[in-house]
This record gives sequence, structure tokens and C-alpha cells, in this order.
Amino acid sequence: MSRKMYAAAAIVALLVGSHGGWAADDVTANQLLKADSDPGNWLTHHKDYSAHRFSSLSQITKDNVKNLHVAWTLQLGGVEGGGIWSHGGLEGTPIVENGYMYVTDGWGSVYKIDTHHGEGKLLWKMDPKTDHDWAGAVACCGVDNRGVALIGDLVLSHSLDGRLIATNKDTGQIAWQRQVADPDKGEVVTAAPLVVKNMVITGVSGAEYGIRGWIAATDLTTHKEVWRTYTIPAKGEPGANTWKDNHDAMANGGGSTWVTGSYDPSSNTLFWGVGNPGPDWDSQYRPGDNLYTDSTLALDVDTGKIKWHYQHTPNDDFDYDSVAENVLVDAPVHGQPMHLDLEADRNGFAYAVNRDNGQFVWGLPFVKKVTWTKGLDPETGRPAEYDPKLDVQKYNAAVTPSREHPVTMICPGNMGGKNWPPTAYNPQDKIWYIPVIESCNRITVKPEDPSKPIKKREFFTGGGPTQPERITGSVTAIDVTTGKEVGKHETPYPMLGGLLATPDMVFYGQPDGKVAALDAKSLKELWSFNTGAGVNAPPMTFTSDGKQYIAILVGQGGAWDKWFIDGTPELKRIQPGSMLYVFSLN
Amino acid sequence: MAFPAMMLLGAFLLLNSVSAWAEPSADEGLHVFKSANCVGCHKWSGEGGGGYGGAAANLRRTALSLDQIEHTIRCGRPATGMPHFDPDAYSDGRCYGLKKAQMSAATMPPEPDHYLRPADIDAVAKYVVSHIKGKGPPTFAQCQAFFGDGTRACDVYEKTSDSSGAQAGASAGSAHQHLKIESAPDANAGK
Ligand code: HEC
Repeated sequence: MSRKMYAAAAIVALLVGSHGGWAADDVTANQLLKADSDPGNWLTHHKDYSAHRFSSLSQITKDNVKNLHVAWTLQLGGVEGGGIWSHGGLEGTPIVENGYMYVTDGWGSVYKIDTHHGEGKLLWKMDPKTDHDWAGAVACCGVDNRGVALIGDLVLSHSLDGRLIATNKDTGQIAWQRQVADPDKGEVVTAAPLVVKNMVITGVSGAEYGIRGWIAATDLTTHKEVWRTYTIPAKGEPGANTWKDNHDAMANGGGSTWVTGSYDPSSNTLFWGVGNPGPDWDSQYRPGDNLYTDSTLALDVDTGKIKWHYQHTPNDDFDYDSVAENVLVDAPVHGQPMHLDLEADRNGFAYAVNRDNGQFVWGLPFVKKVTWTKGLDPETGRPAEYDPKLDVQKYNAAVTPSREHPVTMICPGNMGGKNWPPTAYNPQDKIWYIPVIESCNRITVKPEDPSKPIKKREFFTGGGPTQPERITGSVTAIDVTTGKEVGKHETPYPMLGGLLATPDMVFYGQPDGKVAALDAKSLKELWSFNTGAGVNAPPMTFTSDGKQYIAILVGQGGAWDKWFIDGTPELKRIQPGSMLYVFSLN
Repeated sequence: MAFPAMMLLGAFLLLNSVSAWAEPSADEGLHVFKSANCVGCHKWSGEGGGGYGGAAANLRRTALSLDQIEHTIRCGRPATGMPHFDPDAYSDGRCYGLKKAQMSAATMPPEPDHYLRPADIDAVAKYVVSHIKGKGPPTFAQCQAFFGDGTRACDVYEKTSDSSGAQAGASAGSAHQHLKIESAPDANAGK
């Protein structure tokens, strides 16, 4: 052993020691920090803390991908309905460590699968006995769960009914659990947990039910909550003056946080997206910019204190959440080295901001059609029509829904743009790929009455969308160094599952069952396979016994088939399902 | 020997008439309300309401008669989100005198997830009349009758509705877990 190696071993030993002496096989905080340079494993939700969803594995290449075929499949459960939902679906990203895979179904059951020897063997299933009707009645957008986090000998997961659950990795027994969210108030949890240091971080769903959103950190040793950051300020806190009504709209202001965030260890900062204000489509109920809805938040990870925020759609009238993952990229922009935070927003614009201070760097529309604004201010990135003197923003008044103009078509439609399905970033080419919903839809405003108390567990949306026009999709590529679009591969259906980037390809799934690979440069299709059910989850890749596999969960779920199916009528014939597909060469 | 045969025949007639004429039980109607996903749009209470999918009617406040309710379930309602549960609703003019050819994508009511047999339509229509129509604000007891006691779905009514409801809640020996939330103080307060 060289001197250097001794030193490295000593550091690892120290780190392991500081976390209670975990066994050799346990995932350490240090491993999570280096997850990007651990190509055989997929240790955290977005592959690494920067949310790149890029794997450097290169056994499967654009030259041999045509030989990719199903290696094995595994039937999962969780298709049953509950509350207002007729079935559950799969939105999760599988997590893989040393050939052992962990996936969840929509009701939060966790499955541990041994992928060695070229087959998938279920080792255990942890069923958290989620209260289907309690949670399913207040889940706006489906029976969903996006996966687990690993640390030590624990698998951490959420259940729709608001629990954080730690399961022993070897036995499948629940080690401890705590209630983090309250379905009595309309709060549910669908996001995968994020482990940072000795904490696990939870985001919440429920902005359609009058919640006040938050992000919470739980200590892994004491199982107690370390901090809780509300995404809507309380009276007297910074930002409270952006709620200018006189009926306490901020108490039910929405701002959910239902997509897992990212983390920059060099600045100790957590980046997390915040959803729409409530009520979604009655912006006159809540005059003001409505911070921190539709914003990216940069938080001190130890305290939860907000360092900066960047808001995309002030006084949103469209349901344009900014919950999307924040992709942390170091790249030169027009020759200038930058620490960037990239976000592809429901409002149809992709943004790069300086992640050290929240200053706008570049922005561009990534959808074919935007009607709500004529563009972004080149200095600030604000929508061009934004007027700080107005309490209620009008944007392009001809299409912006309002009490005076209650039925309008908006582009992009309220699902986006881009919804939760994650982007992927290729750090070698500095190209960022966005899974796009190319859409317009019709909004009908039904004003909420401020003199009536808000009913718990009832929709609080101020209207709703319908789908009179066909909705399609695309994979859109952006050169991060210029902020320009460099390619668009159009798809017949919207992107409801998300992307994986490899050195020379991009993988995606479609809600008609297709899984496909595109050439990273030309975006030409190289390979596809139809799974026969709806794909609603992102692909990922890993190695087992030294061999590369591509894995994807298949099972239509989410909001689409209940609320948006009229935009894609052919998808009505897709049946619910719950299956893991794993592909390999020969 | 004619006598026992007569008795058998009588019993047969009686049985037959029971199955032909008996009111569908509330259980059957409840079952259809859940399985045909009426609950997905109108909610368990029938209150329906706005939200993401547009407004389903409030069945607690419906002014329709049993016949009209049954008709609505069979035919759906043109140009709205209410599906037609009779597969042949627009084949021969039986619904509003309309046939498929006369209707556009915008006026045609949606297809349901699955169609219902006439007996199921009858059962669910009667359930709407006996358990939902005219019932006022939903109560804990009604909620529990819908979901059973294996869920916390009804807790919000337990806390807000009348004392009989609260007692029913307290005595429900349900298996579900009642974990409490212990949240940290607001991280951005007092700056
Ligand atoms: C996909 C959503 C959906 C489903 C499923 C659904 N409904 Fe409806 N229903 C609606 C909507 C929307 C309306 C209101 C139509 C209108 O605007 O007039 C409605 C109206 C009704 C009405 C008319 C009420 C009135 O006073 O005008 C009745 C009765 C009714 N539904 C019963 C049922 C029953 C029973 C079921 C299950 C067998 C059911 N519905 C399933 C959406 C739905």
C-alpha cells in the first residue's frame, strides 16, 4: 500500500466509525458523496447528488444497442386502488448496490431483488400497510412512490399516508418509522427520500388540497426531526409580504415539494423545487408574488435556512410548479466557468442560475409552443410581462385564466412543459436532455370564496383543466455552455417517465409501453422494445457480476389516465400493470 | 303425491319472485359505487366537486328522481364528464333520442372503465337515493359505513361532527396505526 492509499483507508475507516461501525456492505455517507464515480451502482435517487442521471457504463453502446433484449422481468404488486383512485402505478427509480436492487410500488411496498447470476430473485417485500383510503382520497395525482434511499444497513422509504420508514436491508423488517406528513390536512408523500450526512430529507405533496408546504430533515440516529422549512412564510417572516390578501391565503398557500432535491457538498447547500400556489387557477384569491411557490430554494442543509430563492412564475395562474429536480453542473457559459443550477420548469422554460447566489444566467423555451408569456427578460429571467407593481399578474392577458376570463387555452398545458419525470445531463458533452410534454390545455376558473372556511381533505384548486387538444412529447437537448436548443426528438406521447443518459445514448419510456434508446448526438432512435403496458418511470443502469443492465419499472399510474387521458385517446386502452423490466446484451 | 310437488313448485316460485323483486341490498349498491368508480369522481360522500378533473355533480343535493338518476347512469350526460354505463346507450336512440352518428367527440359522454349490467345500475341508483341524496353534510358514521374502520379516512369527520360520531370513532378498535407527527420548529422563523 502506498502512503496515499493508507491515508485513504484511514479516512474511510474514520467515516465508517463515525456512523456507528457499519458492516463492509453498508452504504456510507462518503459513498453517497462519490456516487457519480461509482458506475456499477445507482446509490441515490438521481444517481448522484448533482442529479445528473448519467452513467459512464459503456458495455452497451450505440453500436451494439440493437442487440439489447429482455434479460428478465419481475411482477410486482400495488396495482389495487384506494380513495379516489382505481389503481396504483409505478414511478420509481430502482436503486442498486452491489447487485442488490431496491424498488417500490405505488403504495410504498419495498422489494429487495437479487440480480446476480443473470436473473432477478425477490429476497423480501416490506409492505408498510399504507392506509389506502386515508391517503388515496387526498392524492391529487395518483398512487405513486418514486423509490428508496440507502444508508448503513437501512432502506429508507416513504408511504403515501405520510410515513418515513426505515427497513433493515438484510431482513426486510421495519427498524423504525415516523409520521412526517398529515393526510388529515391533505398532505401525502410520493417523493423518494434523500440522505445527506446523518439526515434523511422528505418533501410533501398536497398543494391541490390547501396545504402549507414544507421540506423536513430527520436525524438518522435519534429519528427526530432536525429542521422543517416551510415553503410559504409565516406572518412576519421574509416573503410574507408577497401574500397581499386580507384573508390569510398563505395558511393554505400550497407550495408542495414532491420531487427529490439535489445537494452541493462544497457549499453545504440543498437545492429543492417548490410547487404551485393554492388555489391553482384562482390567482385573484392570493394577490402578490406568493413566495416561495414556483421557486427553486437553496437551503443550508444543516439548519434548513433559506440561502436564496429563484421564482419562475410569480402569482402563478397556470399550475406551473417548479418542483422539478435541480441539476447541478459546473460548466463554462460563453467561456466563463460557472456553478450552475439547471431547472426545466412546468411553465415551458429551462433555466440556468448561478447556484452560489441564485442569479439568472440563461433561459429558453424547451417546448414548441408557449402562449402565456412572450418570453423571459434577458437580464432577470422573469416573464417579460411581469410587473412588480401589480398584485395580480396578467402575463399574456389574452390567455391567462382569471375571474374575468374564466375559460382559456394555455400553452404549455398545466402538466407542463416538463413534469416530475427527471432530465439527464451528459457531463462529457455538456448536453442536458429534457423529457417534454408538448401540450396546451383548457383551464376553467371556478373562483374560491375567501369568506368560506377551507374544507380539509377537499380539493382547493379554483378551477380545473380539460384536454380538448392532442398532447405529444419530445426529448429536447440543450447545450449548457450556450443555453441553446441543439436537438428535439418528437414522440407521439408525452414524456411521463424521464430519462437516463449514457456516454453516447439517451434512454426513455413512453406511456404506450415503448422503451427506446436515442443517439446522444443526433437523437435518432437506435433501439426500442414495447413492454405492453404504460411506462411512467425513468430508466436506470447498473452492473451485476460485471455485466451492464438497463432497468425500468412499467405500470401506468400517476395523474395521466384520470385527468389528462383525453389528450391522448389511444392510451385509454392501456391497462394497469406492475412489472420490472431488465434488459441486457446477449 | 301432488302435494309435495305443489310445495316444491310454490317454493320455486317464491324463490324466483324473491330474486326478481327483492330490493337490491344497500351492500350491492355500495359495492357498485366503489367498483364502478363513482367514488373516483363523486367521492365517497357523493359531494363530487371541482378539482383537477372538473366538477362532478353533488349527488347529496341532486333534485333527480330514482328514474332520472338511473337514466343518467345508463346514458351519462352529453358534453360533460359523466360516463354512460350502458354499452348500447347511443346505439338505438334510447338515450335522449340520440345516436352515435349524430354526436361529436365533444358531446359524446365518456366511456366508463367498464360497463354495468342493468341490475348493477338499478342497485347503484337505489343506493344513491337511499344513502346519498338529501343527506346534508357528511358525518363520521356515514363515512365509516362506507370505508369500514380499517382506515383513518374518516378521522376528519370524527373531529368535527356530532358527539355520536365521535363516540363511534373512539370505540372503533381498528388496526391502523396512529403515529403522531412531531415536527421541528419553523427553520426560517425569527430572522
Ligand atoms: C369520470 C367521472 C365520473 C364518474 C366515474 C361518474 N360520474 Fe356521475 N357525474 C360526473 C359529472 C362530471 C357529472 C355532472 C354532469 C353535469 O355537469 O351536469 C355527473 C353527474 C351525475 C349525476 C347527475 C346528478 C344531477 O343532479 O344532475 C348522477 C345521478 C351521477 N353522476 C351518478 C353517478 C354514478 C352512480 C356513478 C357510478 C356508477 C357515476 N356518476 C360515475 C362524473 C362522473
